[in-house]
Amino acid sequence: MIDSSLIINILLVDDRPENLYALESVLEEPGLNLIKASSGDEALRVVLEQDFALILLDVQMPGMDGFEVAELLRSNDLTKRIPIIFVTAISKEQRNVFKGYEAGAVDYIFKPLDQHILKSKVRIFSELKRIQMKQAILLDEIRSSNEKLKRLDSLKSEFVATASHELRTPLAIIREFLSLVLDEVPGPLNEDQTDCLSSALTNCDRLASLINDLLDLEQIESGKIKLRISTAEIPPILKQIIHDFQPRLMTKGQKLELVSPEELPTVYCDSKAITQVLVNLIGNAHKFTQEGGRIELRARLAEKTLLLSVVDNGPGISDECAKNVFDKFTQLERSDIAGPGTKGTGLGLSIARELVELHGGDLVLESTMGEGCSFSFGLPLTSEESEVGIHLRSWLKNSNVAKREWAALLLQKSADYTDISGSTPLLKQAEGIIQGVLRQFNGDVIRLDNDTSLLVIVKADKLQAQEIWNRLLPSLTEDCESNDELKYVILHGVDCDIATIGMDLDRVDFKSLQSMQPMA
Amino acid sequence: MSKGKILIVDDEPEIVKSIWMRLKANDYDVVSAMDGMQATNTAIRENPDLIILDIGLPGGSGHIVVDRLRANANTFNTPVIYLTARTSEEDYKQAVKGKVEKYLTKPFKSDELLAAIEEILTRVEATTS
Repeated sequence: MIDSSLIINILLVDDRPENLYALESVLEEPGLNLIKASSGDEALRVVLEQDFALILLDVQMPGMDGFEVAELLRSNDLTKRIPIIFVTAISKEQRNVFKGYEAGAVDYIFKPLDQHILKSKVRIFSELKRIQMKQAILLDEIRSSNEKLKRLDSLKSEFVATASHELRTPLAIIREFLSLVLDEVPGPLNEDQTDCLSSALTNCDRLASLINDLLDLEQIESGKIKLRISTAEIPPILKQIIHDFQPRLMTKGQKLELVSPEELPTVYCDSKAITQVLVNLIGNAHKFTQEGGRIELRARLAEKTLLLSVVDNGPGISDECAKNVFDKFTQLERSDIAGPGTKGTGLGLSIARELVELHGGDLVLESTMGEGCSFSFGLPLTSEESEVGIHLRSWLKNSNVAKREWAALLLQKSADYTDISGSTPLLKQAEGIIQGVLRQFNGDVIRLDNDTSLLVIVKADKLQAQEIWNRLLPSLTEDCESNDELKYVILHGVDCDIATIGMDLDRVDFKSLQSMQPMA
Repeated sequence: MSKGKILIVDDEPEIVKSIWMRLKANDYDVVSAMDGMQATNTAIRENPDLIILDIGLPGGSGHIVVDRLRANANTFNTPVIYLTARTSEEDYKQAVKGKVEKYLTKPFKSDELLAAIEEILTRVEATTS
């Protein structure tokens, strides 16, 4: 079926009126707007006024012939994409056909015209045009709704940030006066009064943690939180968490145990963020596991990662509930176990998952009803993965860039150059310059663990990337006073696989910026 | 006997009042200010042992107050605790730069505030005596 809701323009060009009428009577159908031109000049004027799906162009015309018209059409950006079918009575000799193709024809029809062939050819081109028009309309709609969503999203971010900030001060005042009265600073209380005020205070704290969680999640989601990934020792973190949890666990008589080898290899992570992930997971297990339950914090090696999990022997989570357990504000119907006063914010698991994903990992839930559940995630071992690799992986995962469509510049301050202050103003300066250039691109600057290297990642194919480096590198050398202060290495997604980037920074073959040759 | 003199700076009178009551109950002498300019003047005049300072203030933010204090011979090393609703990375950086001893966010727990004060004053006393 032909969709005639979109009117398609077809241009018919012939110097003889009877030929134009003949074409018109064959092609006439709903949805097609046939426009006639009786000379090349007229045709060239008309194509600039309207958008055409197809031009049926007579070859032999007085003055400008069809081939000349086609050539002129092809030389204009506005008209060069309009398909042309030459209509000709002249010989079918290869010579003429070739001339037509040179001028940019897409097809030929020979006189006398075969009505069916003509009709079906025109139909194909008008359908093609309709599809293009629909796509253009759709694209427009998607663009404008994208714009709208972006505006709404930034409005939401602003709202959450402002609201949580504005809520803090009054909450602080309420909390502090409550606790002053509870501490009997203004005068003694009886037991009932203490009881009432204690409840008020507990809920002040609940509100405070909700505000904190909201702000945290908002900052993670809007990309305002940048992880500080560095080499980390996990055992002290685990021990500290277990220690800090003891008072809370006692309220339900639960046990929290560490199941881990005494020594573990180092990993790459943001220790603060990983602590928050584990605290949220254990907090969750504590809330939803029955009194006297058992929670385990496990650490073990699995291939190239250190696998951390929080396992409980609570009621478990059904497959149905598991689907949306990570969604914001999801609280499962388990108040019987959680008991009053332990209701959370419904944000803890969302935050935990986001933070794990910022590390380039996945937070995995496994559960058997009636037996408990486990939340696990892996952290890359420093011995197995390069620091550059983990940053690349985490960046790609969180910026939705295709596997190969990235480029990276690794910039290092040379070892024999030390700043008087011992810090790294040189890199700081470079960081500033890079940030300036990157403003127009989808990219990021990351300071590496050793604090003498910067990793610049951009979303770009090799060609675009080269353009970026060409702009960036010379501006970096301008501020270098002595030779060889800064060195660099360039990586492109098309040339290397992240999984195999085993960059031992000591062994990287850096090039000197000073001796940099303009890139081809 | 007073455990020390503390300056509270906050543009919210109720915050000032509640902390005032808390500190008085814990045997501290208390002075207060409600904007940046007043804070700097009071600090230089009263020479407190410690300052509890809000960041978002009229008449010069907490960061500006700290800058001015650090430039004055009387107050260049007076310990400062930030007590603020602000949690931005930039504020944390400024706090480190101004050698602020402790960064507490609102709503705060008075136990934590008192513990921080005690810890800082004990440390200062140990280094000056």
